[in-house]
Amino acid sequence: MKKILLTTTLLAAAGFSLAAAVAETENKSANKSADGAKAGEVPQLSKEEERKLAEFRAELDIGRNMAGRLVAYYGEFNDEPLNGYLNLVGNYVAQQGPFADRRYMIKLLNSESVNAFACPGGYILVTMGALRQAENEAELAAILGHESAHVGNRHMMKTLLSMDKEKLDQAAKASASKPDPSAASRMRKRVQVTEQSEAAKTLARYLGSTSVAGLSIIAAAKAGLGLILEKGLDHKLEFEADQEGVKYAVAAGYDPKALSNFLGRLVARQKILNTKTLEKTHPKPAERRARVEQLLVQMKADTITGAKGVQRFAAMQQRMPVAASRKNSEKTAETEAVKGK
Amino acid sequence: MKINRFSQLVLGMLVMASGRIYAGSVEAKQNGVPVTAAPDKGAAVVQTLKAGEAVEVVERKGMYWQVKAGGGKTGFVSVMSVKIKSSDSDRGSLAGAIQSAVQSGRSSSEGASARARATVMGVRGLDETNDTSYAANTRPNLKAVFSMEDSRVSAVQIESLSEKVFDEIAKQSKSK
Repeated sequence: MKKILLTTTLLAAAGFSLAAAVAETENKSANKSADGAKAGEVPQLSKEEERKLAEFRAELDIGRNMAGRLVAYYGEFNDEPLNGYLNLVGNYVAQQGPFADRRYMIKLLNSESVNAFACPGGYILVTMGALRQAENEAELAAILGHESAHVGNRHMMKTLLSMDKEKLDQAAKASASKPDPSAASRMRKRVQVTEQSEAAKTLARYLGSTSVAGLSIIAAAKAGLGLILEKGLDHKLEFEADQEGVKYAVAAGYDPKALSNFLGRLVARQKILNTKTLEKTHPKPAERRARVEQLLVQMKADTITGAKGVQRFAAMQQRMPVAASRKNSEKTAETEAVKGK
Repeated sequence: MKINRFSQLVLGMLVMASGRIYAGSVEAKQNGVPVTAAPDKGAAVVQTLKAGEAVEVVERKGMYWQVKAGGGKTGFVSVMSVKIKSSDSDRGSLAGAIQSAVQSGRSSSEGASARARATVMGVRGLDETNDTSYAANTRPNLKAVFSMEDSRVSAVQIESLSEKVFDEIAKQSKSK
């Protein structure tokens, strides 16, 4: 029944009638109260909470589109226990931060490129390449803590909202170039990720009327993708996410040195890893590590005993297929490194 | 002070509203858990907690949680003497609303049209390279995103993981 209603709403939207937009809004609130009642929750929200909810809804639409494009681009790795594990660790860590009210939805990407992405609304994508470089649950927790800090602090959303039309267009164009040509393990052939179909254009025009600061959701998602794959966020925000990620993970009981160790590994293996997109969009791992080390001194990390969760992590990590492509590139790089010496 | 600097860094609206860094609370594992005036063993006991009694967490300080003790006072409990309560178990109405917004909000993106498309296209094999799948892959894979939205982590699962984590810490501390 709900489905039929929603589809009808969207079909009507194709006609761009104002009535459709109104119906849409009504439909949403009807769903909201129905779900609220189902869960036995108090539907009464304060004005401030209503504002946050509206903010969150706008983020969801953009994040959903961005995450959908990232998954289409990289491919997903569908292993229920493994994805469930990422969600468990990620949500546990995120709950130790100030944004426990939010949702964190995590999935593994089928790519050997070492990276993790946080989209507005709480969509977090981690590559197999990144997961392979982690040695224990504590490191995973710190990575997911970093991403959840991006989400909670609305780093991407704030960046998008601060951009004028021209900058948005530039960012969107950046994502239309081929973002990660060396991701040889990608199993799907793709054309430009952001190419807009007629249907998408239609929807973009329709959604334009209800969007944040006059941005259409699709335009914002495209620009967001440009940031995430090409331009990166302000480095300040990355350092901030590192610091917070460590704090959440430590609060959750994990080894404080985990993120520093992980970043150190990326530095040591930079010749053999595919970190092109990561390095294009983030400060250098060595610099990030140095800042994390400063934090560890401040928090007297030496006095903190933390868990590593080595076995739990290893059991899950094994669920990934062996990275044949990585092994080969590793060998080549090793050979080159030896020759170079 | 460290906590103030951190606050400035993370001052999101939620923090401003609640005035605290960490959202969680912890509960005593057994009767007689001491809440001390400072984060060390020898410090004066300001309160004792009964098994299951929860206190709000302010911040982690070394191997202690800084907590809000009775009468609004600040105290410290050893991380080993308490367990972390999942905030899911006492979610407020905003969290609930956000939760349902994820599912109900699907109509407002191109979700419904993507669902229709998925029905037509089906789920292609990963090695599919013919034109149809080629074209389909240029669009957001909303089916995958919906599966992300549908997967939930329960408070019980989170608390169980937390217990394992702190068990490992307890073992390490003993062997030291």
